[in-house]
Amino acid sequence: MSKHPLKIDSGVIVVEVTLTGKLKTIPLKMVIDTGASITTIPKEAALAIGCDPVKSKRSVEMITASTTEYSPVVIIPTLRFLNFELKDVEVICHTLPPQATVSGLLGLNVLKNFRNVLDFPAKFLEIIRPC
Amino acid sequence: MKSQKIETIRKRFPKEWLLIEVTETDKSTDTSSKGKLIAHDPQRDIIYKKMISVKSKRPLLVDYGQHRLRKDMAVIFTYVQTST
Repeated sequence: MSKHPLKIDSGVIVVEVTLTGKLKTIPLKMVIDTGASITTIPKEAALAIGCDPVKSKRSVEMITASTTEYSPVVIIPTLRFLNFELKDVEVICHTLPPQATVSGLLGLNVLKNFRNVLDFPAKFLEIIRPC
Repeated sequence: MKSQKIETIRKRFPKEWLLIEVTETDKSTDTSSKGKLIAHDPQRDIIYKKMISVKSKRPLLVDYGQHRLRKDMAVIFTYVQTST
C-alpha cells in the first residue's frame, strides 16, 4: 500500500513517474488520467532512455478531443510511481501540447494493476497492489 | 553547482521548464527531493533536447516550475483506441 497527499491545486492530479531504459532514468511529472486507455509519454523521453519511437513496429490510433492521429508504441523496461514498479510497460509516444505543464498521462494500462483510492475530502491518494 | 531542494529550484523559475540531475529521492513518496539544476527555459522543446543530449548516471528530472492551471484554461481527457 502506498498513501500520498492529494494535491489538486493545479486542476489535475500530478504524480512523479520514473522511466528507466538502457540509457537513462528519467522522472517525469504526469497526470493520473482514468480517461486515457494507455499511458502517454513524450517521444523525446522515450528516445532519451533508449526506446526509439522511430523503430517502433506498432502504432495506435489516438483520438483526442480535437484530432485523430497515429502515434508509435514503445515498451518501457521499468516504470516506477509512488513506490510501485512495473516491467515492460507499453506506452504511446505523444508529446502533449506546449501549454501543458506536465509531460505525460498515466493511463489505465498502468492504473488497472492497482486499487486506486482518490479521497478528495480527506485529500489523499492511496494505491494498493492486489494480492 | 550545488544540490538544492527541488521545491527551491521550482520556486525560482515558476514559469519555466527545468532539467534537474536528481541527487536525493524521498523514499516515502518516491519523488525527487534534491538535485542540481542543469537547464531552465520557458520553451519545453529546449529542455527535452537537453534531456536527450545530457549524459548522467543519475536520474534526470523534467519538471515545470509551477503546476497551477491558468484560470482561463481547462484540461480534458484523451482517449486512445488500439489500431487494427
